[in-house]
Amino acid sequence: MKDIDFKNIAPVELFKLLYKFSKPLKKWVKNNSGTDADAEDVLQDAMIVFYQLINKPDFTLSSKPETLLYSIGRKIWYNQLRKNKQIPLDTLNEEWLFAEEDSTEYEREYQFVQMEKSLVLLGKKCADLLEFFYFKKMSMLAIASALDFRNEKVAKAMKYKCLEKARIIIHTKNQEL
Amino acid sequence: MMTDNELAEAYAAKTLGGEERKDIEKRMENDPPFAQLVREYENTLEVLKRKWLRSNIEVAKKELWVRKLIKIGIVVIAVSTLLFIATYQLLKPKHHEPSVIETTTIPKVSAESPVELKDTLIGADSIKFVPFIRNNAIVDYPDLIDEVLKNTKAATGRQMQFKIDTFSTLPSNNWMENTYQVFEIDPKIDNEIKCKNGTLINLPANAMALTNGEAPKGKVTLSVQEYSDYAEMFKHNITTTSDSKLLETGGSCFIKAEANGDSIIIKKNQTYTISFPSEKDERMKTFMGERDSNGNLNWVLDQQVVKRIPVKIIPLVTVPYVKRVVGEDCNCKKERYYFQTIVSDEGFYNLKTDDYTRNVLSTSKKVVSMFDTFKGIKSSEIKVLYKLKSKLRLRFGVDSAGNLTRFDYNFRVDRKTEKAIKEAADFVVANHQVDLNTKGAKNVIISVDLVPALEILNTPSEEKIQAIDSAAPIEEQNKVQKNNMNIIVARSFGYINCDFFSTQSDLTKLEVEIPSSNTDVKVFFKDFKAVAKCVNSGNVATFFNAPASAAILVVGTVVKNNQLMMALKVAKVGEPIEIINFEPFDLNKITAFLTAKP
Repeated sequence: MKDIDFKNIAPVELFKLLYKFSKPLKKWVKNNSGTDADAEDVLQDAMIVFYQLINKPDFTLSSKPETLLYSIGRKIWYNQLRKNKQIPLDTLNEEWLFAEEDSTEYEREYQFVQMEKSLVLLGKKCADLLEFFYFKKMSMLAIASALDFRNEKVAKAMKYKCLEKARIIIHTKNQEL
Repeated sequence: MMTDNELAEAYAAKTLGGEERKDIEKRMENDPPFAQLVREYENTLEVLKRKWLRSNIEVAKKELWVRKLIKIGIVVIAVSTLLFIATYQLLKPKHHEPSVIETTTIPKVSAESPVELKDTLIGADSIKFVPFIRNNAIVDYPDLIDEVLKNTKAATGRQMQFKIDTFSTLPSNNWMENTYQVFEIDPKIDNEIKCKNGTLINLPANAMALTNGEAPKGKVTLSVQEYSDYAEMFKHNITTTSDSKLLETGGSCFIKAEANGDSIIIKKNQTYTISFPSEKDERMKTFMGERDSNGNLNWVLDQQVVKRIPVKIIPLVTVPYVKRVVGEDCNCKKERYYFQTIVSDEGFYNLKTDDYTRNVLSTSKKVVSMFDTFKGIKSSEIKVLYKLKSKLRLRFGVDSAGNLTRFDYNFRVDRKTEKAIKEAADFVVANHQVDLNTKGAKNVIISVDLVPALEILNTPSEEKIQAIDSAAPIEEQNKVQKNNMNIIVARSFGYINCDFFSTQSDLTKLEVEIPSSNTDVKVFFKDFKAVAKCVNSGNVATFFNAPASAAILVVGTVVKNNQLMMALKVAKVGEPIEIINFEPFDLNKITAFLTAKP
């Protein structure tokens, strides 16, 4: 496992690896008032944080990836429990208090999850277009071909419109949170 | 010049260079609305990225599931295979290998008093015991006689041992022939398959389908076994009985069809013909064979094929032109008449014409008369023409007096068809003479060349045969003999028999004495073609519906002391028949026995 360069691994491959370490985290979530669906959600959120963390330029993976994933997941779930006020104060332990220290970061994480959910309003074609452009780094010509736009100019115009639409949706949601 | 939105998006997407980024950051410090715009873009791209990452997670999850399923599949297959092998091993019949000499012990045998030995089973083989053994008793089994008589006296008041023959049914017929004649055909076209021993299978175009009803893609492989004589019938365990009633056969075969490993069937309401090279008999009908678990064949009359259709009728839409051929001595003008031939299901045809032609016909009795002559032409010939995609061309000439001077028809064919005609081995050319009673041309003898490119399936009329005989070379005459085949119509593949319920009178019981009920006894009738398998009871093999005094060939086979044995006998129904002297099985000897001419 040490030989794997987590920074340069393709996201799908990274997530496949992380799924192999998912059992302890899922089990822990389920032992702490979470359902199967909660456990899966927390795992996925933790994976995303893991990905972003290891792709920070100044980040070096010092612990085992499973430990990091577990740790991230626990914090996410703690944050969510607190948000839902499911943990009575008298049950808080040292671990919980430790988790409180950087809860701001996970609070932001929670907000992103909510904003992500609002993206459903964007529509599939727009979401695909933005994904192709920003993350798959496809050319406008290729995007036009893949999404059946008349030409790259149309694709470019659509990209602008979709981005604006996404911005407005997310901004609106952000205001609500 | 970029707008603020474009700048903010470029900054958020990190597509700007270091200097530009610094400029924007400086502006953000002094321009809060712009800073807010940049944050909005950053949030947007961050959320979009998360969405993209989540879709990657879903892909990863899916791939892991597929991998997991494949692993489970492999495990399931492996376990199933192991279970199958284990079950098979458990259920597999244990092969019993009896020793050549089994021994048994009879306690205190008295030479004077009868000793009763009960039937016993050793392993899977039944053992033949003589129920009572007396001093000097006649024992039917030579191997036993010596042993028993030699030991009887000495055995008084003692225990004795003697040899017992074991009999069992035939093994899995490993001596039987299971080879096929294989033909590859295009199911989309008419096919005539000529088998090695002369059986002809005529499969119309598009008559076959896969079991799900779809048309087969590509070629179809037809596997055929012909049971043309007694030797072949014996080799393939073919009998000719229908619920114990004797059938007289004109030929039988087995046909199976496959396309890329999938079974092929004949479509519902479709038929095909099989022509067997045997003396034509109008009584022949189509029987389909079914084998039971013991391999016994029973034939069932296919009631639905009652009408014997000698040839497949294809509506002929070819439009032959009738042209007046103007000879030098003819003053008539050139004209072209239009006719359409239509072949009806009954095999007759008529001609349709357009108004102009009809008008000509109505005013010209000569032409009408000529059409009358067409009534003698069989539809099969028309079919042949059609099959070769040729056009029938009629020619006739009228002399200056208006008399008919010439009438013939020939083919107008394309090069490919012409080549096919030339290469066709069964190309028949014969003259046909017709007397025409036409106005002004009484008793004119007209020569007509009949040129079927494939053999004529229908029996030609007597006069036509004579005409053909007189004109055709010997080789061609042999072809014509084929017209005397028995043609049946079949609706499916499998075991197919062309036969009829035997009309032989004075039926009686045929009994053959045998050494063991495990003996397989087949009776081949010499004076007519029929084969029956006897039913065994104890030491007697019986066939209940044998014509009295019929000459027969009896073939018995049995496994005795683990060795395949045979007995051959020429006999007559009604005579006492026994087959006792068995010798080692020899297929060549059986073949010679069954095919020997009197």
